[in-house]
Amino acid sequence: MEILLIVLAIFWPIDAHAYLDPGTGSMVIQSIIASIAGGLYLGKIYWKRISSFIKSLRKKKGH
Amino acid sequence: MKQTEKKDGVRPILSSFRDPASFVYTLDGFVYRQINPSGLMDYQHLMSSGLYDRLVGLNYLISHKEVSNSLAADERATHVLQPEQLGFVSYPYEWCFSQLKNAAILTLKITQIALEFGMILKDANAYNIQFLRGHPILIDTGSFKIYSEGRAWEGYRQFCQHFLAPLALMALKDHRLSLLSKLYIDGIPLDLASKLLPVKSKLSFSLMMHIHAHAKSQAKYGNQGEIASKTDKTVVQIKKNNLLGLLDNLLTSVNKLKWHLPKTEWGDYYDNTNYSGDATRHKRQIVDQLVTRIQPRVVWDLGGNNGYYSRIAANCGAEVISFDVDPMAVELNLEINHKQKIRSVSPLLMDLTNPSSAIGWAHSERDSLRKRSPADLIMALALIHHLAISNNVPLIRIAEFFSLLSDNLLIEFVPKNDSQVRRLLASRKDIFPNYHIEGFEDCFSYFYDIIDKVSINKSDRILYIMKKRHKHSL
Repeated sequence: MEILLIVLAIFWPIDAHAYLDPGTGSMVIQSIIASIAGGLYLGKIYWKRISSFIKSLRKKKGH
Repeated sequence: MKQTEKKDGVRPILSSFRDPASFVYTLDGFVYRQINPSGLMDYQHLMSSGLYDRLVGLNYLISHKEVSNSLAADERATHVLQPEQLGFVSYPYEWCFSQLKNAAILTLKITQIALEFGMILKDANAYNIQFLRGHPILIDTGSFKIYSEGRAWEGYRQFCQHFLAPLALMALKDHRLSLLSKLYIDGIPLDLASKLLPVKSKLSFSLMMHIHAHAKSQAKYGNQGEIASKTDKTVVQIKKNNLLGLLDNLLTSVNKLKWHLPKTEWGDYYDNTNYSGDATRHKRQIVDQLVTRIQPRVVWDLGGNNGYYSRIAANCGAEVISFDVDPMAVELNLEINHKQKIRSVSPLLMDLTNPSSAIGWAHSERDSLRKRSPADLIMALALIHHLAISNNVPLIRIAEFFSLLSDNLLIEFVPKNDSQVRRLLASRKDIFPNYHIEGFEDCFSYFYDIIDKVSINKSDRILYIMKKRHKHSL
């Protein structure tokens, strides 16, 4: 985690047009959380698709 | 650098100075927003992409019309917008838990929708949200910018400081910690939030990362902006899907935060008074008649509790701001309005013994309560004994303060033989020899003409309607 934070801090692109200072530390942690949350988010979307597909199959059987 | 000249009659809104892309000002009594060249592309994309129509259709964003550039504040204007005009402006430290939570959810939902249209919110400022017709709404049309694939969310730090930290502190530690937002105008510092939150907050992945680890990361890289600024080439990026994941995670964590209502002093007031059913009915009837007689457009109900009488004033056609010191009462007020689909009562937290003061840069970013007056009518029902006896404020000074807020006053006098006053005096020495009907009328007559007074049936209380008569200061 420490090494990852350092690497990200060095290579983080800063937006020259931002009127707010997003803060280097905030950007670093944001990228770490986003990479974890992004995976969970994909899983969530696929799970929703699978469950709605199964539901539609059950409905068809019901008919 | 040459100072941009403002047109005659233009009065800048003094909180609107941070973003060079646009700003708001008043001219001839109307609020306008000027778009500057640096905000032009973003504004055009907002309007042409369909995002504006989508958000306005959902009541998520304030609507506006484009007006002539002759109404611009200065020569830099590319567009001048006249947004729907707001009435009373409230601040996050005056909101109860649910109001702040709803504002947080709105901010995240708008950011998610903006991404669908190739845009993103460039900030996450709680002061950009107001409550209009009972719903939170984003009032900063200049907050949108074109999203570049791979860019992180610039508003992330602000979201955690303005919304997540106060909500977590209120939910997991103590609801009074929301008042820290008064001290820290750009949101609660995350290192402070991290210290104040209980250990159990670290068991939540979201709070552990967005607050505790975030605070540590800020401390570690606080002085290393220069390292990052030397590396403007994109190496590490946040993919759009990961950004959506971050927003989804923030939304889930905000939704999970619940405030478990404590049993506070006044939350159950209407179920626990010495009023008989007849007295309540009669008081309701008198309030209705007196408010109807005045026909106010804007009413401030001071000490409004759960909004029972605020809703009576609202039924008479007024927009009512219902202030109370008790967060439980404000929550209940909000809940009842929601259930009854009442849109014209806005409950707010306010300690009248220490009302909101002017804060921010040059004392002019956030206005004091008094600066946000006048109302057309002040209602002060079952309030005076709390101010005069619990807080020792002399009656004449109560009269003076009320007269600064409005020309009309509907006030209830609660005498010493009333059980509520007896309760307040039970544990202390009675040092209020002038607290009686004659003393009350004497003091208030200094600032007001008494138009009418009505005794409430089966009670010793009296309702007065008064009109300010001349200017005095003590």
